Amino acid sequence: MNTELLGVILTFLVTLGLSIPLGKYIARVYSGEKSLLDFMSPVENFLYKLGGVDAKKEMNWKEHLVALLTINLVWFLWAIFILMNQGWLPFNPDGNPSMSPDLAFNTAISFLVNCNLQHYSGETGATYLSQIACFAFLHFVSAATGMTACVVVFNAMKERATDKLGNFYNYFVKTNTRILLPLALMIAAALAFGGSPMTFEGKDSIVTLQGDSVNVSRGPAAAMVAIKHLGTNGGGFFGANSAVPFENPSYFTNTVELIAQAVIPFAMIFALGFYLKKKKLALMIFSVMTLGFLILCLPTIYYEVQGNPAIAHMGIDNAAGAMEGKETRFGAASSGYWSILTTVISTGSVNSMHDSFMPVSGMNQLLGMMVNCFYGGVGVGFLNFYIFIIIAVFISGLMVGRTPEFLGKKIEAREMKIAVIIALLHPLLILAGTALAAYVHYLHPDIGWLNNPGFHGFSEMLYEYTSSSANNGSGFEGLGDNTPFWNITTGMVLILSRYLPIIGPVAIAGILANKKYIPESAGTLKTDTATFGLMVFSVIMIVAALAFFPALTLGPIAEYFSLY
Amino acid sequence: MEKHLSILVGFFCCWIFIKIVSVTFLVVYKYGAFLASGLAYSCQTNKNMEALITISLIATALAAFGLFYRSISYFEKI
Repeated sequence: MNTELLGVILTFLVTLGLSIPLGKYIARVYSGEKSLLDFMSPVENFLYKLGGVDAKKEMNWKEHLVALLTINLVWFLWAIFILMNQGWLPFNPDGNPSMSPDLAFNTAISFLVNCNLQHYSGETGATYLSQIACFAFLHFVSAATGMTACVVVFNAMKERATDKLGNFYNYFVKTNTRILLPLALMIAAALAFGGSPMTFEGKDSIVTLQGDSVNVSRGPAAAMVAIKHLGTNGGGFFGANSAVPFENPSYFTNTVELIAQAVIPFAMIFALGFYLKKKKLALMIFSVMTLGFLILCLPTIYYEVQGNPAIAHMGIDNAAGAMEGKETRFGAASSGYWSILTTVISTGSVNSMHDSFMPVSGMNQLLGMMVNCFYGGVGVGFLNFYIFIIIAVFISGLMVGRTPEFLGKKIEAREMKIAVIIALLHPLLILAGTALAAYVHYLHPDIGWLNNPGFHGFSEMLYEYTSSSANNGSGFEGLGDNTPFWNITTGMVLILSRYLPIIGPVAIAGILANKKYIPESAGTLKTDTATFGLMVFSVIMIVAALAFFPALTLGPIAEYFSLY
Repeated sequence: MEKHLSILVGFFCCWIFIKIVSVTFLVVYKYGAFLASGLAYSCQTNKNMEALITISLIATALAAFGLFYRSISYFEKI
């Protein structure tokens, strides 16, 4: 067990060690300084020419958002076309059918918004064309969309008064060509050497030791698994995601995937410090996020390593931990670490079944998504955190009697209104969705969604909407979710919870950037100190976590007490 | 007499309204069905229903994007 724990600690430290130089590199790419991959310029210029884009034109925050939304709308139509027609389109060696409209709607939106809530099984529900031209493509561009929006906010945080915040297409293309693509190539090569398949051939037929003939699904998995983690997307090539040996063959690939999914979210915080030359602020943000992460992660690992008391009462050896729904090649500790990492940073990929975790672990997974800003998804994690910084600055200003200012810009009523709308949207979508589903199930108990009645069944419905609203994509898989009700309602939650939380912070940042810069004085509230960090943490706990306490009481907390 | 006339005018207005709505719906449906039949090429069962669902869902997504575009100017003026 000590070896397992050591593995988890080392994985975290290696991720942290890699993210600092990566953050420095990302800052250089976005600031236009010389960097390792400057030789990609001709490719980038070709893409600008192809799209008829002037990548040197400076944009204000509204132009950035219009470009972001328009390009996303085009991808939505592209995705839904492919998914509804994949049955007759090429690269379908296994003869998989086209998706139904409601499933295509849910899947297209889900991948577009970086959630990847999969109501289909990859082996039978998607063709190779869909996996590559739709899913892998959206893995890249949805991640780049979040990172680009984040850079716009970085630009707005500079010490000056301006409405010029760079060019959307310039940042977007460079994110793909100089950050995501090279990293994805390295990770994909590591996974392919580790045993993940990378082939366009259809199912392979093998004979088992028992003498049965079995058809085994395969495909270009290594490439997709790489970007699904780097982009914090999480949409797996196979139905059971990274629990499948073809997606995650060994402890080595498990470690590679753990590092891949966390390295960019970590690096984006350090990139902020290097980009704005405010390393103390970046350190404060990273510390608050890490504190929140550890509060969720440590109890989860503890409970998973301890094992299930219900099994212990039956006299069954529980020494390996709570291993139901987990892979023996990863163990309880690493699975627990993965489950929290994947929920706090919005990847949503799984290497074990979250439905089988202990109730406290399930609650922590839910809390990771409910808070949605401890590291968070690539780019958007910081945007969510930015909203809480604005609220914390305002409350702190009121408490100490100083004008609320953040980086030399006054926070006024307009910014606060936007911040509060965005902060309340997340609980509204989750709680209203869960209430609707619970009511429909109450009216039609034979509807057949829930395989687990009682507290756990409620947790499954709560988890589905939480995962959708946090754009996470993981699931408590006991829920039968491929029905028009779930496809359409979660589809609506997905789309609302992606774009408004991007529009809000970019709008606040753009409005603040236009304001007169006030140099720091003795009366300025310092925002890069440990005290302010604790203030932000408290605001997150009060605004984000407590809003969900009643719902958590009805689900995982009640389940926990029913165990003992 | 005036009362009867106003009822008649009321009925006429309702009829015009229903006509406009139904014609609009038919135009949208036919146009949408044409698009959707291309999209839902592989749908095996009840093509009209599939097409209708497809149109509704795509329209819903488009409406959501419309809301997002609108929210930009809303946040500017809030």
